[in-house]
Amino acid sequence: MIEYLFLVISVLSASISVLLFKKLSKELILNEGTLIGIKSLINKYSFFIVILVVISIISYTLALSRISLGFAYAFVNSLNTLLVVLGGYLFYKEKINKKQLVGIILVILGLFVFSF
Amino acid sequence: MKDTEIKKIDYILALVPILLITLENTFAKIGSQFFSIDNFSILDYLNIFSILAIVCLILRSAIMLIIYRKFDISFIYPITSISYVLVLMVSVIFFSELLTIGKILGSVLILTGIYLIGSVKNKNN
Repeated sequence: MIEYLFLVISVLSASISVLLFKKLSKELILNEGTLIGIKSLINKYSFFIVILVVISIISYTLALSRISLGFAYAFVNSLNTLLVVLGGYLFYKEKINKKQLVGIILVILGLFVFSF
Repeated sequence: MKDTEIKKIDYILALVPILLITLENTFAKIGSQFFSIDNFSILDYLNIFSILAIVCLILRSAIMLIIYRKFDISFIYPITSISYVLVLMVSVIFFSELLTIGKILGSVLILTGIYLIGSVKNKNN
């Protein structure tokens, strides 16, 4: 069962890395003027982003040693999309419109149906 | 809102990640069969396929960075979700995984959902 834990770790670290990257690019846009500002931002976040991506890919391949590729990919990718949207809403005040809400429900439903 | 003009070559560039994602997952799956979680050996883990998967990942991330600057997510999300179909095909054809109605229906629902999630009129980012 540990392979499912690896799959979850892979999704979480991938989503967090994307959200961190969003934060990095938002702050880059704000600091457009100062070159020093940009360099320090890239150092502050990119270390964590790289670590998280490495954790994500290692966990993913570990999970793949026991889980089917079709399910593993659908699981990781769908949940990653969902968590990034939700993360954007929770942390960056990005709005979720009705279409997106329906989309979120469809992705969750699709993932559930996929395992049959 | 996007800072550069979109040329025809950029549309072709947008298709490259789909291929890279499919390759990345194929290599990762093959590579994952060379080691086991119970008797884990880092030497078995770092086989040529796992390394190729990482190379594809790095290439894909670099290209995605370029694409995200030029295109909207309302375009990027549906395009890259074509990889769902390709990866599923690879899993059925090369790894003999079962193609069930659930997988087909589930994929359709997921793809529709991702298309809707990507369809933002107002640019939040």
